[in-house]
Amino acid sequence: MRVACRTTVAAVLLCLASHAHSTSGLQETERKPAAPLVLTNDRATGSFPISPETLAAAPRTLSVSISKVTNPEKTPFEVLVYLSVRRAAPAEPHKILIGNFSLYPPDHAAGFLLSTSQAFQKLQADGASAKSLKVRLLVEIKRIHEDKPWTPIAITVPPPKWRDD
Amino acid sequence: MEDLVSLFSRRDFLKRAGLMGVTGIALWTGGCEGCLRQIKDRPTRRNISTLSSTDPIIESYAAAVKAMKALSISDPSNPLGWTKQAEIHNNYCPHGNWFFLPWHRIYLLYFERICRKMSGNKDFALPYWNWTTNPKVPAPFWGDSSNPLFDNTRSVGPSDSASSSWVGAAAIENILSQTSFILFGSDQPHTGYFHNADPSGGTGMLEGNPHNNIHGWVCGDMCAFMSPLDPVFWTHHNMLDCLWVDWNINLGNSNTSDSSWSTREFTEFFDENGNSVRVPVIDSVLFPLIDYQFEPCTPNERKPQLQGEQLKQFVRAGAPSKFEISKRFELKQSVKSEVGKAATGRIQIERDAFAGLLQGDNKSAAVLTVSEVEVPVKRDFFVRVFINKPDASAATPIEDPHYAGSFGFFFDESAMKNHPMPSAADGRPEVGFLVNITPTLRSLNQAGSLSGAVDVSLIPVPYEHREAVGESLTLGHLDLAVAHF
Repeated sequence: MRVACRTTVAAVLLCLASHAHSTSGLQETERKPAAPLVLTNDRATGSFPISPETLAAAPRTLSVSISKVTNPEKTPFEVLVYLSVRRAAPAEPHKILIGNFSLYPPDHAAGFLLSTSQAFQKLQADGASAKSLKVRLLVEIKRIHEDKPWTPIAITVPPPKWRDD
Repeated sequence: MEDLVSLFSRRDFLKRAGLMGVTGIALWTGGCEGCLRQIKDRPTRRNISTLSSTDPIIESYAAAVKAMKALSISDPSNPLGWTKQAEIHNNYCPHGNWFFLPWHRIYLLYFERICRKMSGNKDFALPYWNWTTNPKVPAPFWGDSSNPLFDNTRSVGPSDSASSSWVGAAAIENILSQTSFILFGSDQPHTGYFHNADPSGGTGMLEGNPHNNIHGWVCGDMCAFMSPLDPVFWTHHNMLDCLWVDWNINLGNSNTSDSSWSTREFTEFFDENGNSVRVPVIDSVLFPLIDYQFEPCTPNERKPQLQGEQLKQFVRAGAPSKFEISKRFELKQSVKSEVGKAATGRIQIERDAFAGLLQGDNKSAAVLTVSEVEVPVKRDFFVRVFINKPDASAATPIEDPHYAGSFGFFFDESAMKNHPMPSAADGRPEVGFLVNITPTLRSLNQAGSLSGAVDVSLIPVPYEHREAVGESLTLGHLDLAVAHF
């Protein structure tokens, strides 16, 4: 049942990915290795490309590493990871949450595993009627206590890895 | 159809049953009265938000914390002191890897015992903070410095609520729906198992989201590795333990079968008498079945699964204590079998003894015990059980109405180190298996093919893609019991 379901999702996403490739013209750019993101309190979001092959395969697990953390005040913050879907410019991208986590303690680097199944299923539902589609992996940091001001924070996020376990 | 041991972590249970040797079987069949009483009377860990401020659990917890804090001042090196207990976490806690769950389970178990001694309440069970139903830090943790459960370093106040994206029902059910142990409970460590930064590691969803976010949200002491200084820490981790129990037992998910997980031993804990203890991970798997139990803590009630649900209740509530045998029919002869060939034994029964369960009594079950099973040298096969089908073979489909269930041998020699046990002459252990054959008996009865004898056919079947030709199996004892629970 699960295999059949995943096959269907993969097939639809493959169509979407192929369509995105033919309309976006971004494929060559997306095949280059992505550089690590550095997110800060002033620049709290960033994104990575997702290859058409990855979209087609819809891997079950995403491994996100926070390889370096500078957070001298130990301000607790959350990391949210989305599929960011842009149908057609100039429309704002639509975000589909993959998962969220935080660091414990807030200045300790760590790696995290997220299940992607629900997000890819939503993407399938969203994308079925889209005329053009560009999907990126969006990473955002957010203060856990939003009523308190940011303190200086910087984290380094290498390109996440897709896994199928 | 499922055998009873599969109702919780099949692999780990079988390993554990092997480690327990004869005792493991006795637990299930009523032979160890002391164990049964202990299991039956094991304390229930309750939702702290449902307890009044004068509840003995709250009062005992506060008294224990007060005594431990006092001990830290009067005897700073005493391992039962409040600060020393927190230092265990500070110095040894594994995070971001798959020792996170068992390590904290063991830590809580010994802390609970220390609380019992310090409070003088032998019935004390550590309560849990169900942040899904009450996302505020519970009332017993507030007040002023006269309350031992209060911590003045917290960043939140009594009216603040944790985000539903961390602890809401949808978030928690999503985590519980994961069937992969590493996604649920974190991945194998790449570099040691301590809390030193391992950015390449894999923090699972339970740890990464509700665990870490609650630590960061409460903050103050909770933001650091000395977080057990805040008494709310213990109730927070107890909720995580409850969810792990639900994931294992109620949802039937297995932990990793990797022996580097199950055989890992921790030596940094102290019992209530201040003695150092050595606890392997595999022991922690059975803590919730032997040492304590939980009030339900998950967002959704699980759908009843008829027979399966009853059996789950049976396991969850402490199987042996509620398992009463009214009739037992035995076959006292050893049965040998080979892969691909059936071993059949005929058990004479009194049909009247089964009348109630055959008519749909959902408080009783027909339980087949296959015991004194010599664990085979190679374990490339498992065993299918058929009832009243003497011509059953490996080719007989499991959709056949005579099929009753199966069992396998997830034995791991590396898990047996340092664990002396009764063994067969060649050193191999003997274990036992239980198979619930009630549905099969009912369908055979409805078809009019149940008589005064039950033929039990055991068919060793190779696992897919494995060669198991010639491998044999010896079964020392078969019995069929009418059990009530």
